[in-house]
Amino acid sequence: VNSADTPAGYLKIQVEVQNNTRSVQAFTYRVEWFDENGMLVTSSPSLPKTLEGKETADIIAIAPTPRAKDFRIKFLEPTN
Amino acid sequence: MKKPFLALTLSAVTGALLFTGCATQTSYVDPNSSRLVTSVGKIDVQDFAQAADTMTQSLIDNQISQDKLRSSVPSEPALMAVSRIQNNTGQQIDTDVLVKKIRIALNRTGKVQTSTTMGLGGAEDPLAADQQKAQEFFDDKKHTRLPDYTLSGKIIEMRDKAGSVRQASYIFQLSLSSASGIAVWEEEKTIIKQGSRANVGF
Repeated sequence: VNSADTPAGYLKIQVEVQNNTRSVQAFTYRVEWFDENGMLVTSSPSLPKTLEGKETADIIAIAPTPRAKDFRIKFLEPTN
Repeated sequence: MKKPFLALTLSAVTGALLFTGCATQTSYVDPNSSRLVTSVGKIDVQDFAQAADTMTQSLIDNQISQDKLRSSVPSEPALMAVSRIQNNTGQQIDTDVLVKKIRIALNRTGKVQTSTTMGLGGAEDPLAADQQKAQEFFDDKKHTRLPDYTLSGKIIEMRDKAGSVRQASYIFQLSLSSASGIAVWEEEKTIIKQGSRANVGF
């Protein structure tokens, strides 16, 4: 997990995810942004992602507001 | 004597089966949920949300967070007007489903505001436009503040089929042009969906 602040104070994050299986894996994820007091500021919509067998990819996101100082990524299993 | 009774019983049973068989449970679903109905043949609400999220992230990442957007009025956010968002799909789409999400996100950054009195095809808010004109008349202003940037774009649809599997590609393209007519930011998001029928979930 990497994170950095942009010149205007926006938190930018990069999270590496890896598919340890040999088959294609689909999932959805959602990024939640929190302020310095740990209060939820906003969250992204559920975003679908697919990883080929043994593939590594990066999830990159930028906070929608400089108030966001922390984040949480929720991984969800696809429903079909 | 037994035939009418049998027919009546059968119709009652069939009716009951029809009522119970067709009954579906309706429930509220979070618009950010991954359990929304997904269809191949049309752009779903989650597709718009996904496209708007990509566009907003890109705009914030490449322009706003780098302090690149300039306002013609110092100490005020840059002013943006929405130009033509062309629908090149076979569906009837209210492009505000996409644009409004982007506008809300940009407005919340505090760096961009959207004009509701200036836009292609007239003012979004006619009363605000009238009020602006009256205010300018009373203040003896000669010029209305012009937008620093305009947002334009296109939604394109491409379809394919292999056997019973249908594939639909939806391409969302947006450009932000400066007052001098230069595209200072452009982004494209492609959403591809495959399947043979509508489903629940991604």
